[in-house]
Amino acid sequence: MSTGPVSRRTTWVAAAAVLVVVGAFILLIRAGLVISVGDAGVPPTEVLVGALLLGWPHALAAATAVVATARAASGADGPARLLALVSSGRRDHRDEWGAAMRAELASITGPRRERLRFAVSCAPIALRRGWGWSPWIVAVACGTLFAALTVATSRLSLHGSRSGSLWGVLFGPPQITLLLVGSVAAWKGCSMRHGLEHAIPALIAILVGVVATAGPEGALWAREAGVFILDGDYPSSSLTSGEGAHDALRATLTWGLLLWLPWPVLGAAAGARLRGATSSASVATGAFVRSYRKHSFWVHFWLFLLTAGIGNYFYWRSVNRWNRGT
Amino acid sequence: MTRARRPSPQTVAILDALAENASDWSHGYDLCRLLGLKAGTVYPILIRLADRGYVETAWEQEVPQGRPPRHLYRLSAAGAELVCGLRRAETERAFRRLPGAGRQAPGDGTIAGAQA
Repeated sequence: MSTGPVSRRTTWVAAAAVLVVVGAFILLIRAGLVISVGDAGVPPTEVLVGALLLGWPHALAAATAVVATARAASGADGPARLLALVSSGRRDHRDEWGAAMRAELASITGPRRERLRFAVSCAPIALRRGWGWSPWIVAVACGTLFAALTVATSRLSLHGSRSGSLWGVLFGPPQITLLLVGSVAAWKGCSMRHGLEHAIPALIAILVGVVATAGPEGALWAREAGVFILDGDYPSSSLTSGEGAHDALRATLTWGLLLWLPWPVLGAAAGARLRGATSSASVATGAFVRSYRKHSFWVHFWLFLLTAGIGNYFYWRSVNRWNRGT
Repeated sequence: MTRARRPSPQTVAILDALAENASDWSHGYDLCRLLGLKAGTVYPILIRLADRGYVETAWEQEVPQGRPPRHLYRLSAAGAELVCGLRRAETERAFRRLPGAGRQAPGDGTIAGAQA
């Protein structure tokens, strides 16, 4: 992700994306209220506050994705923008090949169809990952970790307070993990793309790990305690194993996915931003010049909120090291 | 130990095209047009050949204003050897396919299948 200025048009599109996301959450909350309490006169302001509290990561991720896409997809026309978008954020020799394809496209002065054909033909090569095995290793580690966490918390709670364990697994640990995976990978790879290539497989693996274990654990809770694994609630009538498993899977696949989705984007964007990622084209053509970096207020703000000040120290150190040229 | 696989016809075509023009640099798009192949076929082959040291790459030095420098390709010494080896193997196969192959090769007094 390059860190140049954002055009007015991109700002408007990003603002529209935020509005769409908040609107979607308002509709979601209204639908949930209608189903659960029959829309019993909940004031619109409370619905809006709820939508903002629940949907701010999604809104922020949508705006970030719009800005990152607009910055990556720079070019004179559609084919150039397509190739710039799909080849942005590569590193090492793959970066050179992305720049090679872009330069070759720039030299094609024939009809637009010919340029488009060249860009479309190059796109899958540019999209293909060149990061080796690390995304898969990270994904397997995350999936295994969350499968073990789901089982461990379930058994501990089942033999203890029986207050339900799945909600504690779905809300909090995956978001932090995805944020960390995305930001560390983006930091190491100097690009948001590198962060996404690690965080998205990690999200899928976490989902698979939790789904694979939450179902059987939900059935176990129904058999042994007669309550739901999600929050330890008693059912209105007796609970079968199948219903217990179904409730756990439904919660994971709806709430889990909904809550986790924005964090790979946020993590990757944060890592790339912290690293002061530069565009692949400028690196490949040797145009990149190490410039002075300022501390970003917003980066410090979000780091303070999300990492309780620990991230601020590392960010401060990173900016100072960058400016010293080490 | 790496497996010695016969290169694909497209790889052979690219190697042949580069060998035809061994002293000069070629461009990716020109190779696509010359061989009638898509960029999605040519570039992965060029990347692989460059990774294995059969093709040398460079960036254009004298760049006309208004466009970025193009990437250039030419056969390396190892690539030239590979092309020679492939041509030799192709000749051997062609001799083997001839009626009466395995007996005396016409003209040179060698056994066709045993040529170097």
